[in-house]
Amino acid sequence: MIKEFMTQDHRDCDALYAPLEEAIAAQAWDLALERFVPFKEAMLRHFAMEEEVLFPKMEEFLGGGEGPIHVMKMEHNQIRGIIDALGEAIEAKDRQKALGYGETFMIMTQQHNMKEEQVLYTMAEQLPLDKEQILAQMQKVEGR
Amino acid sequence: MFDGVSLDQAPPFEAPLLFFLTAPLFAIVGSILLEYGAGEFAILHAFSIGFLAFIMVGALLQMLPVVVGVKFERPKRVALLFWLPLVGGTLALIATLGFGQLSLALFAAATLLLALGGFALVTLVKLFKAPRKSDAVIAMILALLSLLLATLLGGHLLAALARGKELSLLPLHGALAGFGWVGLLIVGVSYQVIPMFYITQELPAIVRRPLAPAIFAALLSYALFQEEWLFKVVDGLFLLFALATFWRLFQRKRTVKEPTVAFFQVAMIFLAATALYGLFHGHDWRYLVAFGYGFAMSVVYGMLYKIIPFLVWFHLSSRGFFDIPTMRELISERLAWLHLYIHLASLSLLLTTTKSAAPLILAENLLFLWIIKAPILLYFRYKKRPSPFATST
Ligand code: HEM
Ligand SMILES: [Fe+2]
Ligand SMILES: [Fe+2]
Repeated sequence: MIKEFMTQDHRDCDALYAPLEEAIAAQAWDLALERFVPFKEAMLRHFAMEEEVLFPKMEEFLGGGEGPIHVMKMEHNQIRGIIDALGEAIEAKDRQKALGYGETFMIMTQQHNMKEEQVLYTMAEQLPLDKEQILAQMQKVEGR
Repeated sequence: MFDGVSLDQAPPFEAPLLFFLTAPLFAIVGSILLEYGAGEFAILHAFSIGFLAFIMVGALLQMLPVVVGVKFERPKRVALLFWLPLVGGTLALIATLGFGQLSLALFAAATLLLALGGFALVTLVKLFKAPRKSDAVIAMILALLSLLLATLLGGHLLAALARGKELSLLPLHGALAGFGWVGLLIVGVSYQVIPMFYITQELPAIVRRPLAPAIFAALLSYALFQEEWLFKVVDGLFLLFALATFWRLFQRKRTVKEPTVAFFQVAMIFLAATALYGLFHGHDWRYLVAFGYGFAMSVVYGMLYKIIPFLVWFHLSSRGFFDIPTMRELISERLAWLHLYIHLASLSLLLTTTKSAAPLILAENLLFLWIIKAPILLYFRYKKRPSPFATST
């Protein structure tokens, strides 16, 4: 249930990125900026759902420290960094840089998502968590 | 409950890189053997083990920790432990098959068994422990089982050669190595990387789920009963995979034109053509060339042009370096397109006049090394610097 929901959210974020990349490639900068805003919002909201709701609940069972959840949070920081750099490149109307950060963002995010979908969310499903409550709380998280 | 599961960041870049850099060198050796008319089986194995198996072992070392959360302890040492006998064994096999050095046959068998058989076994044990077995992982398991069987059969062939006995089970070895190991591994890896590189949908479950087990079952039945039509079933299944994957690539969400997706598309076209050729014509040397050079090697180049710059970027940025060039700046797109054209030219020569392809194959792999030089040098240049994380904390 958590796994399906979060996996779908990954796909929804992907779907926001692809048209953004198209606008950058076509150097339609206004359009690119217009598409960048909801894309960034969706990504940050997704990270917030994990960092504020799902991960703390999992850590109650798995403990904090250097484990898998810590690695996921570090990757969130890397990805946030790329998204910011992407935004700056779009504002600077630098096609090469923007496509470059876009590519980096995409693969970084995809391998991150894959680890979550194949390992972390599977763990979440197997832990004795109150899944419905977690789902409800995650849906309430606001993007920023 | 989750013993052995780690979401560690990727293993050190040096481990897969050692294999990725050896592969084009063996392709160059292959092109020289081709130019000087060495035995066809020596040339075949310079490419099938020297190029393809090196890349695939490297890619699995890289991918398994990320994909299934199984990791190798001390990855650099493990990599070297497989790499050394693999290099020695491949060279000895080339000497045995190409230059009649039968005294090396048993050495080749032993080292290759150690390297490839050992790698297959160790990895299989790890994969069986994976918390969840996706269709991609199942395909990889079947590929590694095929590798194990093919290597054992290869050892059996070498033992027969050394003792001057007649070779038995030859077609079986070729089928399991080529279509079981190489073919199924690419199926598994494609399931994994194509959706993530190009944002495509996965293949429909009714194709994705049964495909690899069906190919494996057809190959094994071919092995047991030696009926030609069973091999055509294998062709039919690869045709299905090629068409479905090509269709997914056609529908991909990322529409920006770039060379790596073209390499994948070329690969799928050649796989479909190979399968049709096998279905309606037969399984001769052209079939092997189209499958190995047209399909498998195209996938490899396309994949490496994504994976290498990503890994460089990933490892450096994990260490806190953010002033590095982006992935697209690390690989010259113009030269990668040029590579694709040379690749297509070498392929068409290989399929027609064969021997005249040698200089182009040489050029293609030198160009490949030249293209990946920039990201690799960048990696080692930054590696020497202290991490900004270390100074700030
Ligand atoms: C890993 C990828 C490999 C591939 C794709 C591959 C492929 C092939 C193919 C297609 C043939 C020709 C079969 C035929 O004519 O029907 C062949 C022959 C042969 N292979 Fe392999 N092989 C691989 C690995 C190995 C290994 C690891 C060994 C040794 C341990 C080996 C030893 C041999 C030998 C001795 C022959 C017979 C050569 C002759 O007839 O003189 N191969 N291989
Ligand atoms: Fe995440
Ligand atoms: Fe996530």
